[in-house]
Parts: sequence; C-alpha cells; structure tokens
Amino acid sequence: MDASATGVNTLKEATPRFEGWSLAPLAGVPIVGLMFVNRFNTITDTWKDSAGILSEVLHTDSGKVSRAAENYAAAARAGTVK
Amino acid sequence: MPTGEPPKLVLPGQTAPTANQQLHIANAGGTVQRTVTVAPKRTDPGFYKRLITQLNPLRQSTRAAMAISGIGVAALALDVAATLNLGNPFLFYDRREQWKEMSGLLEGTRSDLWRSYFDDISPNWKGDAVEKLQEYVRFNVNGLYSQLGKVSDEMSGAMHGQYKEVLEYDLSVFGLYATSAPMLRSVAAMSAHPVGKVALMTQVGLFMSATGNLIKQFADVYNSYEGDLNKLELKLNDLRGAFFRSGNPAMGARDLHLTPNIEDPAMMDDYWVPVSRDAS
Repeated sequence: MDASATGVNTLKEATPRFEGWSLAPLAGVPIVGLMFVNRFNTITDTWKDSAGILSEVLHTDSGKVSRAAENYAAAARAGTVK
Repeated sequence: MPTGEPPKLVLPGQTAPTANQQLHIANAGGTVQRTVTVAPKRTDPGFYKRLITQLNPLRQSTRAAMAISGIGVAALALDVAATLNLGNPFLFYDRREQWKEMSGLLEGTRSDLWRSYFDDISPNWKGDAVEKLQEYVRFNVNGLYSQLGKVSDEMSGAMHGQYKEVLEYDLSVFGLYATSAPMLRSVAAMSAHPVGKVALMTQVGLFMSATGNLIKQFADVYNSYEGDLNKLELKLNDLRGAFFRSGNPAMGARDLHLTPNIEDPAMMDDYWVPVSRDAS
C-alpha cells in the first residue's frame, strides 16, 4: 500500500505541463496552439492535485493498516486475542 | 569492458546513469537481488532546430523577391504567420510518451494494491476489517485510480494528435518554401524588365495563396482539437467529482480515508478475525 502511495506520488511529481521557454514564439508550440495551452495546463494541474490526494490517502491509510497489524501482533504476544 | 568483469556498479547519489546502464540492487549482505536497466531519457532529436536553420535562408530569398514584387507587406505578413505556426513535434511526442508511461505506472500501482488485498488479506482474515478494506479497495481507491487513468490516457491521445499535425504542418511549410524559393530567386533576377516584374508578381501571388491556404488549413485542423479538449474536460469533471467536495477544488478534497476503527485496539476483536478461527 505504501509502495502504491509512493508510486502515485512519483507520478504526481512528473506531470508534464507546458511552460517556460517552450511558450515563446518559434520555440516549439505553434501560435494557434497557444490558446489551448492554458486549458491543457488546467487539466494537468488538476490531475496533479488529484494524484497528490490519492497518494496522501494511500500513505495515511497504509499507516493505519500497518499499525493495526502491530496491535494485533502485540495482542497475540500478550495472549489477549480471543 | 573486459569480459568476465562485472558491470560497473552505480550507486544512488552518484551521477545519473547514462543510457541503458545497469543498476544492481543489493541486499544488506551485498548480494545482488535484482538488476534494473535504466532506460535512456528521451532527448530532442533536433528536427525542429534543423528545420528552422534550413528554412531561414529560404525565407531570405523569398522575402527579397516579395519586396521587389511590390506586394511585399501582405506577403511578409503571411510569411511571418506561417513561420510562427511552426511547432516542435518533439515537445508533443515527449508529452505523449510521458502521459502514456504515467498511465502504465498508475495501472501498475493500482494492480499492486488490488493484488495485495486479494492475495494477502482477504484469504486470511474475516471480520469487519476485511469488509471495510474490501469496500475501500474496490469502490474507493479503484475508482480514483480509474478516473486518473482515463484522463492520462486521453492526454496521451491528444498529445499524439498534436504531434502529428505539427509535424505535418512543419513539413508542408518547409516543402513550400523549398520549392518556391529557387523559382522566386530566378524570377526576381529578371525583374528589371516589365515582363519579368509581372512574372514575379504572379509567382509571389501564387506563393501567397499557397501559404495562406496552408495557414488556414492548419488553424482549422488545430481548432478541431477543441473536440479533443472538450472530451478531456468532460473526463476532468468526473475526476474532480471523485476527488473534491462537490467536484469543486476550492472546497477541498473529499474525505477518502479508511475508517480509523481499523487500528483501534479496543475494536480489534471485531475487526481482525483470522480465517482459521472456525477450524480451531
């Protein structure tokens, strides 16, 4: 679970936006494309935020599951498991 | 490298491994556990740079001919519009591949989670925790993964469309300049004579209409991405709906967490019951 969280987080960090030098005229994005760039970036940013949320959820919850396992193991050692 | 010698070890923190180098992952005892081949990072093959370098001298002679013909200003405006629309296809290709890889990795982590639940937890436990976890994996996290996956798949598709159009346009513009520049140059040389001047004006006129058409077609094709973008934005709405309160990022993320009861020691007896309990 934690591995999945890390995986999603890595993806989040790698999200490709259009920005910086590639937006200057003649640098790469055709001039008619410039009017779409913002909308593509909005999608990219939302994707990035959502991936961040998913990664945070998985990360927190994997903590819960592993603590549950520790609790169970501790109880088993103490002989209190019914 | 001499044969029989092990490949060079690359340690974390050293400079990044170059193309196709192997990374050996060892355990604490120093035994190699597995070997990873590092894929080379995509680099721009320089198509766009070469295109611009080769296009510039052609533009020079075309522009000179336009100036002599007397319809220079209008032609120049078209020339500028045509070249400003040139794009670097690598930019889109790179993003297409990146989104595709992200989709693949996303699906990989989703499957990891799915398998770890159905292989490790569900066969060995019963009780409330198993149900809660199953709900969590099947209906919560799985849905989130698939919403993310849909958008990244679609992004890869949209980037491919742009890559194709940009490349085709670049080649058409280059082709047009490459064929007209020599002709315009030779006609311009004869333009001192009135007949030569008429010939030049005709040629420049032809060139202008061809350029104009090209720009218009490209703008049309590109504007049809409106459709792609619209599809993407519809999927984005689903994504927002899944992750944010009322689908509105300004209202913050939904509470998507697993119930904390799962780790509450007081409720452990209800939540975690080994499958073997019945047998004993």
